Amino acid sequence: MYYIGIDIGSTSAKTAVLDENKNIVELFSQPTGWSSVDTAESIGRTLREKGYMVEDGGVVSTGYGRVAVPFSNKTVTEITCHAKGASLVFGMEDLMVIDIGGQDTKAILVEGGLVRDFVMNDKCSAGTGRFLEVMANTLAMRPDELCTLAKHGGNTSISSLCTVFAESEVISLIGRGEKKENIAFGVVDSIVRKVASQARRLQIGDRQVVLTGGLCECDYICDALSKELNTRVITHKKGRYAGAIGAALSGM
Amino acid sequence: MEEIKAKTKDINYYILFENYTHGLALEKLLKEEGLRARIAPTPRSIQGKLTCGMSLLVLEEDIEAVRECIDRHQAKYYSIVEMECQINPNRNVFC
Amino acid sequence: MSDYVKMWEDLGMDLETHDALCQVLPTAFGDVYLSQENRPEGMGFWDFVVSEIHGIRPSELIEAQKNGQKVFGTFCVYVPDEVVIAANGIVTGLCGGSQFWVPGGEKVLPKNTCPLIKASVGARLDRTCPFFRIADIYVGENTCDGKKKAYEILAEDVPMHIMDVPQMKRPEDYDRWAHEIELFAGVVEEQTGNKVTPEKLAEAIKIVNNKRKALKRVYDARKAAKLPISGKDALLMMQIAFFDDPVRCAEMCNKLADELEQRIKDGVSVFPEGTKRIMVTGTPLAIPNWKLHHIIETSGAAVVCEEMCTGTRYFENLVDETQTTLEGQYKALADRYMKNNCACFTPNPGRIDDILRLAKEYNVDGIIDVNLKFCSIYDTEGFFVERALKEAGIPVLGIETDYTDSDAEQLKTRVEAFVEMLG
Repeated sequence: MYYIGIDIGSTSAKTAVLDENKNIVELFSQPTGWSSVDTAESIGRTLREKGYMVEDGGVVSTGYGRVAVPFSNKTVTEITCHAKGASLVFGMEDLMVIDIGGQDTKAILVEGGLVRDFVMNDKCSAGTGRFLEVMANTLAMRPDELCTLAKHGGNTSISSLCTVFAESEVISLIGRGEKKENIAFGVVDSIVRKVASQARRLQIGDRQVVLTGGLCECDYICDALSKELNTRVITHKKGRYAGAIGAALSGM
Repeated sequence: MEEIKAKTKDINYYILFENYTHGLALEKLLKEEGLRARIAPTPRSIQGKLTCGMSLLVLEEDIEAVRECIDRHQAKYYSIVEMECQINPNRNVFC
Repeated sequence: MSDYVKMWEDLGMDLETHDALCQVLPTAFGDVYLSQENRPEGMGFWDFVVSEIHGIRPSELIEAQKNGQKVFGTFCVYVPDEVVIAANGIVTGLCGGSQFWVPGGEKVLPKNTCPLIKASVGARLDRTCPFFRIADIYVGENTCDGKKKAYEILAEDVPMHIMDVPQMKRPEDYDRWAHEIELFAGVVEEQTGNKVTPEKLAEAIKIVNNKRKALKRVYDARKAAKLPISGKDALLMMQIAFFDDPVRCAEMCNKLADELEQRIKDGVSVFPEGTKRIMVTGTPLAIPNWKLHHIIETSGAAVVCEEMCTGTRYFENLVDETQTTLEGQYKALADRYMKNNCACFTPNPGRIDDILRLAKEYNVDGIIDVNLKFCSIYDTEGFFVERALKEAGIPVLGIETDYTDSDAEQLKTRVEAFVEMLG
């Protein structure tokens, strides 16, 4: 028996397959594109090709496109899934999960592997992957390039939290001839400050803070977040699959 | 969390009235006869020139009995409109 | 059975714009209300009122005006209906709960004004709500800065009386509120041409107390383990209570309560066993604001209580009926109204006590603290509310929202996650 978790986020769709001993046997991702339904169908095809019969049950979907998966048996929110997934990936049951997603950023307090409390940004996209994407676009770079470059910059801050205003701030920095790495630094700094202020609304205590979601592959974000929160923030190469893994676990 | 599925009852019937006095009278009558009908705001797409905002919503499985009851009592109504169920609790569009 | 279009025209309404609202209401009401299974029969009355929302009650009010009665439009549960009723006047609520009216308010108000104020001002200035046209005089109150200034804007368009609600609860504040009620009685007498006598006021106090008792009976039924009514339906009853005739309101609520009590005896519920019980607390949910209740009740939970102005604050605590002098009655009224714990008071520990008490009474699993965007007093008080609840071990979710649909999906994720967290 296999358990399948599908996390359809705003930018990418992640799939995880676990066996009954909670071993992760399959992980893959793809861009969500403009149609969650098409994405779900394509995931279904890939799974069948790999020999997993999605019609046999055990499929749990999560993420903002969770209702678009026709062969899903159950939907669970990404908050619950990230908590469960992170607990498995990081091998600890008490932790604080920060998930910087494409559209939402969540800070989740996990106790005994279960959600104890959480905060999530409202409509505003400050401190989310979307903010990074828009700024990277303005700087004619890929988001991951921007993150890497930010490490080499400094001394620039972007004060607007609103993505639209921040974009014009970036444009005027470009106009002033500010170095690209400094602008990149300012962008990442803005995200990190916003995310940290959200996380601080919860009682972090001496819990291990972990970063999941799309941005966790960028070491620099982890470093900057550690500095801002004054505690070591760790990540994992399977961190971006935490939601999908948690979804698979929710089916057990 | 399982999503609540949209209603599976595909066809709804709306009984329209010239005024709510007729509407309330029929509602009372149907209730007395143990027939199901719910007061509903008339969907604008079928309201036409009628100014009465109330209608009676009847499910497909009940409509024959309701028609029969109306005929038997010569109850006043304007028309009965058949329409695909528009009710969707997952739409999340409010007013 | 009158021609409402003619009535709206006579009220000087903007028919074309008003029609846009009439178009969306049946669909939204269908999605939110008619999608529910096994609703109490008694809800038929409120379904009827909604289907004739801008017709039936307005035409009653106009009829009453033709017979010389005056209509007082109010915005707050601190304004004592009893005084108006004693002078043979009629009270109607005027709070706007739809995004439809917000742009009208934004023409004159700052962007960072709460949607309730924007909608209320927009409904008047854009001439798109009959109730706002019918009222002979508005009665405002200074329960927040936004309202205080917005009333000045409204006062340029409609007669307005402002009641000075105290902002603290010292003994002298109770006296001051009794005095404000007395001043208000003077205004009411002048408007209606009728004297407020101890006999009339005693009668009015009984009428409003009876309405409170009836509303409370319905709420009490929601304490049952097997919920006989959805939160959405209870909210609708509550929202319309602000607009209806108080005697009919009590009669209908009592009828509904009879049915609910029978359902409890018969073990009939509108939710499956184990559905999580949620209490909402915070700013009012004026009609037709059904967004949060709908999201909660389509996310595997049920709303069992509202600690809100459109909720327990409207009916808890009765006015002492034994007073026989106006002085004693004003004092009794002041005592009852001052028991309302609005965030406009400082400090306001009574609200925390209420929330903790109600959480027990209604056996809640979790609480959602919901505040309208830009309502700084409730938003700030949320700090104390959420801290007290955490200390009491009651899970709490804080939400800030407005009347737009745009955050519905995000709210749904948060509410679903909260419900999942409750286990």
